[in-house]
Amino acid sequence: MAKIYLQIDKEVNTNYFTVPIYLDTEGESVNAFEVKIKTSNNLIFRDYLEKDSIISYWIEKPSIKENILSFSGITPGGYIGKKGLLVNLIFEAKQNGQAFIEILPSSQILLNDGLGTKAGLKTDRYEFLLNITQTQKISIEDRYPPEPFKIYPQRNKEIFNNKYYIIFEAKDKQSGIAYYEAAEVPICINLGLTCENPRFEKVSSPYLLKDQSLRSYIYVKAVDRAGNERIEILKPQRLFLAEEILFFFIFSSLFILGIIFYNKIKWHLRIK
Amino acid sequence: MNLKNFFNVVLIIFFSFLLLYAFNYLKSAGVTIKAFVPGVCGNNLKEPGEECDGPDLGGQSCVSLGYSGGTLSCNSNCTFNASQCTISPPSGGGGGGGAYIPPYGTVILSGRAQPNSDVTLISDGQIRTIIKADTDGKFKFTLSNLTPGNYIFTLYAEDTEGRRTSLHSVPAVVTAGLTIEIGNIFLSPTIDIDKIQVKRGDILRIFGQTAPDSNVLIVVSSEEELYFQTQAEKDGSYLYALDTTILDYGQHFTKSRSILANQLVSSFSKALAFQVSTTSVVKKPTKCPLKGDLNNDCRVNLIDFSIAAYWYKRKLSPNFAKIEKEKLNGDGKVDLVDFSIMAYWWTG
Repeated sequence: MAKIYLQIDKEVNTNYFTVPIYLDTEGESVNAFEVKIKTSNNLIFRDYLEKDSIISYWIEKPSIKENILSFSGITPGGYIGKKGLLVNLIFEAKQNGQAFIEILPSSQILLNDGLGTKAGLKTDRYEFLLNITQTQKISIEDRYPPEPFKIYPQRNKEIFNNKYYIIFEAKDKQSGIAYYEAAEVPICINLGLTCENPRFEKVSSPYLLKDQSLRSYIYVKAVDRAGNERIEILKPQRLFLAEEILFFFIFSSLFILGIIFYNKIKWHLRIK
Repeated sequence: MNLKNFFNVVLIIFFSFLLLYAFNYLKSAGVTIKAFVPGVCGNNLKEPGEECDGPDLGGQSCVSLGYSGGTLSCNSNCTFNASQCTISPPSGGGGGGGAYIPPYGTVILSGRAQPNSDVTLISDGQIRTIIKADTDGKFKFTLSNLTPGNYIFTLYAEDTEGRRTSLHSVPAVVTAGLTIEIGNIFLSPTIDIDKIQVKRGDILRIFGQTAPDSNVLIVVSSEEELYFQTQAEKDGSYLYALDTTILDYGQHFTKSRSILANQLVSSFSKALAFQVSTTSVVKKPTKCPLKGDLNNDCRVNLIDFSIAAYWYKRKLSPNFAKIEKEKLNGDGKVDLVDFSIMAYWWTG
């Protein structure tokens, strides 16, 4: 029977504090997680840190809906272990007094068996005292850029009306990805002129491409929570459009026919 | 110009057109053809001969260049501008004068798989590298320049017949400046069957590949589990002929695991389903994952995850409902169970 648990002192003295949520799989291999958490009213959920999380892909990142804090994700290949960190949740203490964080039994852990079988699950409620004596914010130290990542151009009849889009997912082992920016720069044959600089704007994956002709360089910038960046570039997928090829064909044909016609006239005139 | 020359010119134009069309088609079909752009500085794309170009730093940073931090940028002549990079000497004092070592870590992963198989290493859900196992099935990955932190490395092998092992996950904590070695990884056998439906009393052939000379334990899950054993050949192949007289009518599953030299025990292979009935139906060989491959590219990866995430908690379109029925659990919605199925069949 798997167990979701957290670590917190019996008394908390700082206004901002981090609560790690762990998973003990009790020897089973598990691959999908959905955790639901209820907290006392004197706690405000402020943020989360993905650092060291066993979750590779987030289905839903931690957020509050209808007073329940929840998140879900998967680990391809599964995880077996006693202290697998799911996420670090950052709370702000609003008011001194008794507080609680309860992992709800409606949370789900699924076995890595190819069928999505639910693992038996133990959850708990943690009570502690808020006695704020120090004010401090959670600082993030990270000197490393996000990991290299890939940009996949895609088209799917069911998504974005069959228009081209890209998907991407960067990882950052230290502080986690804060946001992404993207820029599309039209193909640029540099002949001593300065090409257009990428103008980045905040985006998320999947991102619908503005240039549906796929003749732009696509820059995707992943920025971690400490401000370190990594830029990946997708080269243009096409060089010519069908209309351009057709135009080229018609133009070339006309040009050559013109030469032939001109030569024929010249030849006729010479005979005469 | 005579008529013959005229036709030659028309033919040349036609074939030029055909060539251009084919070229463009291949590009749109996902075949990699590199766009020709002169390798000159200023087009914001790092090309051969350039250290960087505009925002394209070629994946380099101050840390990867040996500095301790800061922001790396690119000069107008496409060389690195490290003026904003910082250098802090390693703590511990003394000595001095040596080059600063970037605080990255190294992991070495080694073990056994099928002889001559392609072993894939995934981390964070994405393929990091693929290597070939030797004729004994031995493999070894060396990953350097890893950012310190917690990793889950996932491995699988594809045998010489294109069958895949189950995924094998190895958690590791990477520490700056240190090398950790994880050995004795033993990937599961690959498994296949010759029939998806077998006439009761007929022989069902269960076969696959594993490390040479391993003992292969075959499990048939019915109401109770039945165990059978066979020996892998020198080339790693194994075969067990199961007499189905002992099985009841209905659905059964089979999977296998290997034991090498009574020491290394592999994880279980993927489980395959078969039906015991009054007639036999031959199984068509397939190299694609049975589930989770939503875009039919024979892989289960971020692209499929992204498609499933799009439909998560949404009403499915009639088209996607068909895909969901075939490739996921077929309950008419996309939920955590479907993502779990994808995670199981993940190929990266």
